[in-house]
Amino acid sequence: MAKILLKIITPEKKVFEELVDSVTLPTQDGEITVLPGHIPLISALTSGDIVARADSHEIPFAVVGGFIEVDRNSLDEARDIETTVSILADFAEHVGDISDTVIAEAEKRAAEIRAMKEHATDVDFEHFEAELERSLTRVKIADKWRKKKYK
Amino acid sequence: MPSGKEIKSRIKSIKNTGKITKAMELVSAAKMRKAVARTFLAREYATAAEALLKKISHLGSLSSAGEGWGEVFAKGKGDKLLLIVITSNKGLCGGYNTQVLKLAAERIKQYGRERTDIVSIGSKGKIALARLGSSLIASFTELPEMPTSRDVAPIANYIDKQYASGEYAKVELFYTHYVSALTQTPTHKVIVGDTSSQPSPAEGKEPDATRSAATPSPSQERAGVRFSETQTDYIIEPSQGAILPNLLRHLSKQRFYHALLESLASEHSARMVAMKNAKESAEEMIDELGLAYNKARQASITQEISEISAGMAAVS
Repeated sequence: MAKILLKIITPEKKVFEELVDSVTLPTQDGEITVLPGHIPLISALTSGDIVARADSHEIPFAVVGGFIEVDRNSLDEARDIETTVSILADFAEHVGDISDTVIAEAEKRAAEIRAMKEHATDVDFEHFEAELERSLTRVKIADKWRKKKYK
Repeated sequence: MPSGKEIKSRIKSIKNTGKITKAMELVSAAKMRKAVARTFLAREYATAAEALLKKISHLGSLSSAGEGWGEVFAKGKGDKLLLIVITSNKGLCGGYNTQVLKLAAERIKQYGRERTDIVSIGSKGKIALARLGSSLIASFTELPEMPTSRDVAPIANYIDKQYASGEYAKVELFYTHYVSALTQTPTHKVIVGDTSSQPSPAEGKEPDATRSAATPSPSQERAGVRFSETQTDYIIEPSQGAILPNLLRHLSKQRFYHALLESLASEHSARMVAMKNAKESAEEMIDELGLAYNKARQASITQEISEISAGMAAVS
């Protein structure tokens, strides 16, 4: 069966690059699922979780902002990769990497940022907003996946 | 000829300097490894982002419905040039700063002093660029040792704002591209504005990923996939007007961040090499002075002996 080559890249590092069966992403227009053979697409991501499915496993990632590009790929016919999904995320992390200490830290950070926001200038505000979003998303996605099984 | 004592004190002082440069070399080597690792990790994103930009850059001219396009891909409204020059905060790194500053100075000369404004990153460049005669409109020196993409956000926002003011035709970035521990090339890149005339020397060396993405492989054509010349037609959600300016702003910020990382890696390796050379020449000097010291000592002994024997001859 045809597969998708999923790449998740952040400015800091490459988070993930593997073959998967499908991938579900939070775009600005709502959640979409990309299957092999998807038409080329460029879209913007919001914060939320990316779920890749491979061999009936679910591989979840927390993601904050960025862009997605879906492209046809017939360069690699031998491996039967029909579609490439590149995710250029501002921030992305495998849910398994978000440990309890990280969550506690993120929560603390969120509280701190909220306090700082009270007397921040306009320029800082944007910055804090992004930080807060990041902290909150991590907490939220980690909570969501705590009871579920994933790989 | 200096006396034995003088030479001895010189040897001591050179030894001390040698110790310091050796320590600095080790520190730079450690920092370099870290910086290089991060640069390589970030290159992945930069390559992917540039590839994406190349793939969509034709859309602007293709579709008449490209709202918000003109302002991002075409030349800026003004005719001035905004140069961003990345240098180090600290010295002792060989020709690292000089090389990139020279490149910037040439560009300023070519474009005209009155028509260029400069934003300097790093305190070394600030001093040198202020002397060049163009107006230095901003200087950022407070970057952390290992900046993250969040740390560059204020600078990127500032550049955006400057460009949006309509005064500039384009924004060009001068940084040092890390090739290897021994080679770093000062590089020049357009990051905002009309990027079609990319003068960057690094362009030719860009990884093949970008090229293979832009040219359809024979197999794709055989498969009957529809191509508009060399490009794929993308669906763009929510809409071109909504996503593309955003994407471009994002990419220019990313270019800047990547250039900063490249520069950091280059700085540390330049410093490491400079310190290695300093250490080696200190060792050489110690060797030479050791010989000179032995010679002086030998000469004084010989002199003493001849004086004693001369005295004995006079007495007997």
